Amino acid sequence: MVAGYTHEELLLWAGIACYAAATVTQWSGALAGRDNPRSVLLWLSIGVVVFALAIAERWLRLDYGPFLTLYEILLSNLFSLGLIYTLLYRTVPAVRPGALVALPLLLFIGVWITTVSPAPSQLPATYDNPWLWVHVSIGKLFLGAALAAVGVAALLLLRSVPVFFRAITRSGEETLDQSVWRLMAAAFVFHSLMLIAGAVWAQDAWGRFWSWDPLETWAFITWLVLGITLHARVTYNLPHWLGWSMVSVVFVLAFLTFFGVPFVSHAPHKGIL
Amino acid sequence: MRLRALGSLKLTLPLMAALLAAVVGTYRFGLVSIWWTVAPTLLLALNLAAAIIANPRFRRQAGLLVFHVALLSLLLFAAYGQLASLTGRVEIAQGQAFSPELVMVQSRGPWHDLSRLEGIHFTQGSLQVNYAPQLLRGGTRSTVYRDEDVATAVVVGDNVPLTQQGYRFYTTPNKGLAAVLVVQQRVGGAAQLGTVHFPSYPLRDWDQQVSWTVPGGAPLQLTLEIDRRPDLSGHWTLDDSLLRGARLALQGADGERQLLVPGDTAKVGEQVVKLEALRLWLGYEVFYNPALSWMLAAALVAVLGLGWHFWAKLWSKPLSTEPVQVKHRSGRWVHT
Ligand code: HEM
Repeated sequence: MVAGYTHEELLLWAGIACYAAATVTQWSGALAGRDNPRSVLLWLSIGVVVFALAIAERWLRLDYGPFLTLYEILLSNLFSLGLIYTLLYRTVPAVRPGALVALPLLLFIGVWITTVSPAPSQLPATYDNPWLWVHVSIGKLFLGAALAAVGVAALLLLRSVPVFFRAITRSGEETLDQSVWRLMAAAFVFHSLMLIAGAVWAQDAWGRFWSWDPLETWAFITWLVLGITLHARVTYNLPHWLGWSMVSVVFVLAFLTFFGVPFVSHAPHKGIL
Repeated sequence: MRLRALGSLKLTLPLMAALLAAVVGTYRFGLVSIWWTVAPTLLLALNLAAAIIANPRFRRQAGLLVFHVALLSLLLFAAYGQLASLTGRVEIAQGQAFSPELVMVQSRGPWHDLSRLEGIHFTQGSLQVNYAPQLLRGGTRSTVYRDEDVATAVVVGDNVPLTQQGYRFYTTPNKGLAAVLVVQQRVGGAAQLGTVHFPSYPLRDWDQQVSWTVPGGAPLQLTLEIDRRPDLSGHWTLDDSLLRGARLALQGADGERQLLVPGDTAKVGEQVVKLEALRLWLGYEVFYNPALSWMLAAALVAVLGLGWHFWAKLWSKPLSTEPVQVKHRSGRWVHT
């Protein structure tokens, strides 16, 4: 312990600092017209490792994984979204300009978590189930793909901002637009799998595969809006701005579903009593 | 031609939007009738079936065809599952055998034949539920015997239901204490055995009493007096050790109180009431849906089809990397 801080808190702050450094590097590069993806990647990678350590430290201390409280969900997503985004940033150059928007979003989660109580909870017995892992991991893949997509889509939408405009120019609008839809297609596949794994788990844990509890309802709404978005694109000759706006709406719905709904409702999804 | 119109993609979007509105309306504004969601779903199913038959795009894109056929099958299986399903609750005390009359039906599809329940045989054995401080419930272990034969014991609880004849019995947080009583209409007369369940424990720890009328006799107030109350601020296990030293108080309308331990009898008016035993009871959720595995299979095939489609159409091709020349003119976006 350093000056009254726990290891977990120190790691948390260090991780947030790394993501902040990645964000600043991305922005300053864009403003100066000289991208520096290697430095961004380095900061992101260190941040991901540090968050992994924070999770491991907490897990060993409390003897249960980061699955329950808002603090734990935010912490686990700082790691998983960071990891997925870093891998995409490394392997798909077309998502990089979107980091101007995606990294501040990630950093927002980092700032948010500092305002949330880290008090532990107890894992309900029904969480001792392999489907929990399948469900949660695939959910993270969905949100990671959606984060990368919304970064690029928001950039394209806000192109009247000169720094965004320059970033778009360097990559080419067509390439960026294609990458948005490829990521959204992947997000749709992952979301569908997440719903399936969730239903199997719910059947084991609560004796029903689907019961329209608030979390299930919101997850279904997100899935349907994503389906509508993909359909609208192939059915109508959608103006680009409308397609990108719909992608942003899907992300907002997903964000609320992941980080809002479970914590404002006392749904049976928590399964305690 | 008509089929083509019915299967038009131009219909799909408004129908999906209607389904979305119905789900939001049901959730946010409490639309009560399930037809708000069922109607657009049925229309979507019709639209999709017509499109699968008549839309040439499906013939050109196999993955897409697989996805949409599986989606339609999923809807059909879900509908069949609903029609044939049963959900209900049952409370069973230790030592008691399941019988269909114990089931409190919550929902029953019109095609579900309740006589199927007669094929189910099990007897409730011991029960343990772990608790952490502040009444946080941990694991549940419920031992169940098939056909009253101890050698056939299975342990169920939490993620593991008891399954028989396609029915699944899930343990629930609902459980408590029970008194097994034998009532004789008069000394030496025929005996009648029954079980009285007290309110859920530990949820209603403070309220372990029920009103009960002796068959053919007077109303009584039954109260359980428990000595070995668990320390709810620590870790503890709910099991039948809770019942050791517990007593049953019978109180008639005249205010007279009689305290019984297992084996004791009390005279209540004309009848003799014997406390045979004190036990635990456990509530189960009963679930029957013959389409469950079919729905899972359809959903997985749908995702495979979708993955195939996106692979063929999007992911297998390189991203176009042409550096498009664009000019920024008063906030507008112009290709040159
Ligand atoms: C109910 C009636 C439906 C009909 C008639 C229908 C029809 C079609 C057709 C013809 C296409 C191919 C478009 C093309 O590539 O040119 C398509 C694509 C697609 N549909 Fe549907 N569909 C229906 C329902 C759904 C539903 C409920 C979903 C999920 C929410 C869905 C998700 C998709 C997806 C993800 C694609 C691929 C879009 C792409 O290639 O980017 N469809 N649909």
